[in-house]
Parts: sequence; C-alpha cells; structure tokens
Amino acid sequence: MSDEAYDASLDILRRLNPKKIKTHLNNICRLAPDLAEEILTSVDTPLEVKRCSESGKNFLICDYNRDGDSYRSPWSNVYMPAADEDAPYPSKNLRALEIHANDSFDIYRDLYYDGGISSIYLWDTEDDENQGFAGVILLKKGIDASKTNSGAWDSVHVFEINTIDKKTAVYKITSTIILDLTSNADDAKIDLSGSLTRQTEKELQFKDSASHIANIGSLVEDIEYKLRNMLQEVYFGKTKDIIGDLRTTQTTTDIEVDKAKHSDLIKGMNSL
Amino acid sequence: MSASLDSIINDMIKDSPPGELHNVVSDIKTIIQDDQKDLSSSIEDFLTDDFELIQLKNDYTVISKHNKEGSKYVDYDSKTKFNVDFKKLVAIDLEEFELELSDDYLKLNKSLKTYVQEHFPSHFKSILIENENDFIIIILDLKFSPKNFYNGKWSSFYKYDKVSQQVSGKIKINVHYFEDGNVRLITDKKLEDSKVEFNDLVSFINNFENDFEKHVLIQFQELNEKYFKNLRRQLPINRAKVQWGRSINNYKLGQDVAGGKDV
Repeated sequence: MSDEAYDASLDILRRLNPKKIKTHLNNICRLAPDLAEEILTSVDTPLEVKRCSESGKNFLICDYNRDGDSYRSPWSNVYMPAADEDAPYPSKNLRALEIHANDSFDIYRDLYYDGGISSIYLWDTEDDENQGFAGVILLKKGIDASKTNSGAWDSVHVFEINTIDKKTAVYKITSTIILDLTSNADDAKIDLSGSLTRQTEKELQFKDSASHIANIGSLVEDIEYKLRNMLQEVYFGKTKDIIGDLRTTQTTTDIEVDKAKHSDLIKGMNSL
Repeated sequence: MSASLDSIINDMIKDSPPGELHNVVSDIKTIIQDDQKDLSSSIEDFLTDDFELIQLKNDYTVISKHNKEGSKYVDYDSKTKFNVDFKKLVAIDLEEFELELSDDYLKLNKSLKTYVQEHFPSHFKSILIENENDFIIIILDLKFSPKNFYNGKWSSFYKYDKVSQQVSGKIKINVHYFEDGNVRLITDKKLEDSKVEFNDLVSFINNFENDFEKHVLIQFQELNEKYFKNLRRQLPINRAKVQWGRSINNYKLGQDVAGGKDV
C-alpha cells in the first residue's frame, strides 16, 4: 500500500459530493482493496442505528464498537448479534466510566438535541485507566417532518486522554459534524450536504476518572457550539454569497446605479 | 481493468466539483497506481454533458454535445471548428469556416448576450446554436476561488422549438466549499414545455431564472429556520450550559428516553 494512494483517497473524498460519501468510499475500496481498512477507519460517514435487544434501546454504531459483523451496545455491553469469545470489552473500571459517560451525554443530548440518539464508547490505551484512555462520542438527529424537506445531523468526536501528572491531563479531540439538508419544494431540488472537521487539544486539571468525563463533556459542548456556528455560516452564508457571484437577480446596470446613489448619499451626508 | 472498475472511475469523474476535475483525475490515477491510464473519453462525456468553458483564440467558448459536428466542436461567434485535447483541456486543430447566420439567429444572439452581460457577474459565456427545427441556448458562469476555499458553477440549457414555439430546459447550480471540510450545494430545476413568442424568449428565460434563484434563497431560509435550528439548539432551553460532573444527574430527562425515537 502506498502513502500517496492513501493521501489521494482522502483528497478525492474531500472533493466528491459528500452526499454520496458511502458510495465513493466503497468504490475507492474496490479500486484499491489494500487501502480499504485504513480508509474505512479514517473517514466519517453518517452513523447507522442498531437496536439493543437486551435494553430495548437504540444505539449508534461505528468502527470503534465493531467486532466482525457485531456491534457492542453501550447500554448493555452486549454485542449484537453475539460476537466471538475474544471480542474486545473495556476493562471493568473503564466500563463503569463508560456507563457514566453514556448517562451524562444522554442528558446533554436531551438538552441540546431534544430527540436523537447518543452513544459513547471507551477503550483502554494504558494498563491503568488512571494514566489515560480513549473514546468516541456519537450523536445523531434527523428531521423528516414534511415530505418535501429533510435534515440530518451526525456528530463524531474521537478523543484521547493522556495524563501528564496526578492532576493534569491533555485532551485531544477530532470532531466532525456531518450535516445533510434537502429541499424538494416547487419542483426544484436542493441538496446542501457535507461536513466540517475541527481538531482541539487542551490541557486541563482533573480529580478522578469521572472528572475526565466532565472535562470531555464541556470541551465537546464548546466544540459543537463553534462547529454549529461555522456550519450555519458556510451552509447559509457562504453558499448564498457564491450564488450571488454566479448570477444576480438585479441587472448589473441597476446594481451600479444603486451603488452610485448610495455613494452620493454618503457624500451628501458627509458634506452636511 | 474490468468494465465495472471503469464505470466506478466514470462515476467519480462525473461527481467532480466545478474547477477541480484535474485534481480528481490525478487522485484517481494515484489510487489505481496507473499514471498512463487514458481517461479522455470519460472526461469528454462529463464535460460535454455538464458544459465547460474552453479558451478559443482570445475568447472563451462552451463545449457541449449540442455544438459538436462529427468529431469537431463549433463556435458560431468566431466561426471556428476545433478539437479539444481532453488531457490538457485546450482547443486544438482550429479551422475557420464560412456560414451565413439567419436574421433570427443574429437577433436572438444579440438579446441573449445583453441579458447574460447584465446578470452573470463572473466568468460567463452564452452560446446559441441553430438547428433545422430548434434553437439551443447554453449559459455558463464560473466562479473559481480556491484561495477562499470555494468553486461554483451556474449552467442553464434551453431548447426552443421554432414551429411549436415551446421552450424546455434546465438550470443547475453546483457549489463546492472546502475550508475545514467538504460542503456541496447542488440544486437544479427543469423547465417543462412552455409556449413563448420568439421575441419574448430571452425575457421569459430571465423571469424563469430570477424565480428559481429567489426560490433557492427562500428555501435556504426555510432549511435554516425550520430544520437546522431544530437539529441542534444553540443553547439548552434554560440558556445555561450543562453542569457536567456528578451533579449532572440532577437534570431530569425529558419525555423522550435514552435512544429516543426521532431518528
């Protein structure tokens, strides 16, 4: 496998229509099967939902809770469908923290998303989770209120915590939000879709392992706030400006006349 | 390479954002590790379907399936036939020819050019093609600004039947924004057969395009206010940030329980 081919795969996925990312991802894997494993773990796609038959609740799946074709439920810690005996589980202490993280983000989800699904998965990176661990926070919400329009939001935050000393840890988070909006009103089709990604690294104080979840929680809350503003600006601000660069409903003559009137007005006011 | 792999490559080329075809082509060659792979016919299919500006002499012209005669493309403004080198995207084998353009052609082309000049502020071009039974109009406007992380393209196509005076067509806007991500806007609208007097054709197109552009902007507002805002709030209802930590359990979950039903 070549690094160039891997880089080219990521580059082309930043160019092709993000609405079709799953198709393009599968196609790249067919063109370059050697790349498949690495590409599939490094590219975020809209999250899929599975039902946990133990708890009766829905959960989100990704590469981090997968073993073969089975996915571990964050609610019951059971793989659906049953996995091999050697399927990975978090250590006992980390699982306790994972339960706390899922409960906490469930409240966050309810407060900000008013619906949707959240799932958090943690995994050990050190022998002792007091020295650090890693995890992923997944959030998903969809709106399909009318037949003509629809919207979908997927958040993926992959994080790693490394403790520097007994009180300080470094938190590294890679966050991607995939936002897909569609309108089909009045025979015109509008597809506005894609994703924005942001990397965050911060050093924070902690007391015990539960306070890592509190730190990650407020970091994710801030990151989503910023990314949400960026998404709003790009989706509804920038694209609107670019449409104006491509065609104006006013004629250029009228625009010039307006500009001239405007500058006359300013001149007039300045001379008062 | 098998036929199905070629069709995969073809699909990728067809999905190229405006102004980034050469990047997509070079990525594909790197992924398949075949620098010599000839993708000219996929590129030609894509560009002539989607329309493209090609530099010709000191001006630009549009290439499409509609102004191709035999193996050559035709530019009626400069009365030139040419081939296109689809590896370099340049006009080659230029050949001038004589042609008497009809009065209707000259009249329509003049009002079309005035209209395009007035409404398309970037890198724009219109072409008019006269066939035995119809006129074909193609309008393109490109705005490439990779330094500001965006590329955009407007294209419209109309076919006007001389006898029935029916016009049909399609407008498409394709925008790629790529700072810290990959965002694409694709929007299009078809014009179903509509009866228009020959002299009113350009003003009809102007109204149709104005209505479409206004519709898109209204839908943006709708998607922003009714969809985007309801996906994730800017702040919780009490306008206060979450109290993380052990005390988070003091929050009472709303009616929708964990793993809610709204997805």
